Amino acid sequence: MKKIVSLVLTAAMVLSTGKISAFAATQTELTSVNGDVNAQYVPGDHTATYSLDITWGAMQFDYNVNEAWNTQSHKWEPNDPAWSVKNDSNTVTVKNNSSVAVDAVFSFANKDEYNTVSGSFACTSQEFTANKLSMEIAAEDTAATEHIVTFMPSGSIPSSVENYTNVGTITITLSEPQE
Amino acid sequence: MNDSQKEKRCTTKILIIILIIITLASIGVSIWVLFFREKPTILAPDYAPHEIETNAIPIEDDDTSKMDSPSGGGAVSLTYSKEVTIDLSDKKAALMFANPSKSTQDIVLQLVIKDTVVIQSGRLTPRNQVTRLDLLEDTENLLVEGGYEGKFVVLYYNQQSGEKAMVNTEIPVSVNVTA
Repeated sequence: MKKIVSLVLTAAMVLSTGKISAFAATQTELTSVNGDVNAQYVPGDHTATYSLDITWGAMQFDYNVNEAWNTQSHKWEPNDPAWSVKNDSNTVTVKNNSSVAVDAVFSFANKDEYNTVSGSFACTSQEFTANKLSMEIAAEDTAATEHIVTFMPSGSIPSSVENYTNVGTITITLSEPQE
Repeated sequence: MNDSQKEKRCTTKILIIILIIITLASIGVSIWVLFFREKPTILAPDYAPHEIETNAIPIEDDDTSKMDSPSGGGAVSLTYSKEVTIDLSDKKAALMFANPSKSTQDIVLQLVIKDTVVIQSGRLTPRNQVTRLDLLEDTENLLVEGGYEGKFVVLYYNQQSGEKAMVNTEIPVSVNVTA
């Protein structure tokens, strides 16, 4: 009798305290944890990037002297000389692909043996004054503006220069605009 | 006044006159050096050096097509940094200058400080860049630690003939010299 009662009591105790999940109609829900994930775009320091495209023509010019006979000196002498450019070869183009505005200053220096030659620059762009071309940053997703500067020599060269000869150098100085 | 005193006075006068003459001569030389002495000319090579710049490294992922170049002229694209650091112990300069593949010219890069060429590169062909260049021999003796205002002089050369172009570029740069 005592054994039967013990067994019954033990069974009752087990059944009341244990979790027999295998026979459970539903399972206990797990606790969920929510948290926000935050991110941000950090562009970093913008270091100025300098990049320009420059093209130039052959820079060939004719010094047309229209010689006339001088009846006093008895020789052919220049008469109303004038410079002309051959095949439109006197252009320099500049494009600014930099992340900053850039100024381009144009200058011409003759060679010592041709010190009677000088020259000047011209450009139809409004950004060109006193041989300085001011180029702003190109707008996003657009091609940089192409600025066209032309050079025309002045002065004279001796009659001994019978073929196209280098009489000087054009220098383009690139710098940031002065405030 | 006795004879010895007279003699002493005479000697003093002569010494003073000599010192005045030396002082005037020194002032004259200083004025000449500062205002009238011809500055040394920077000689740019008329033809491209045969040697390719040994410090040149290829520009990665640069497959852009060549720029349109006028007949007899040239086209270049420049990318550069305006900061240069010279290490006197190493006799090298850290800088950045690139000649992208779309250029049609070889480049020779000079760094000029106070009218003295301290660096002259070998030929930098298109699709190559330099981040380090060697100082010219003995130029490290001309510089001390500190900051200088210098300029890049960029010379362009026809890739076939090696002939120097009639256009060049100058770019003001900041130079920091370290021991």
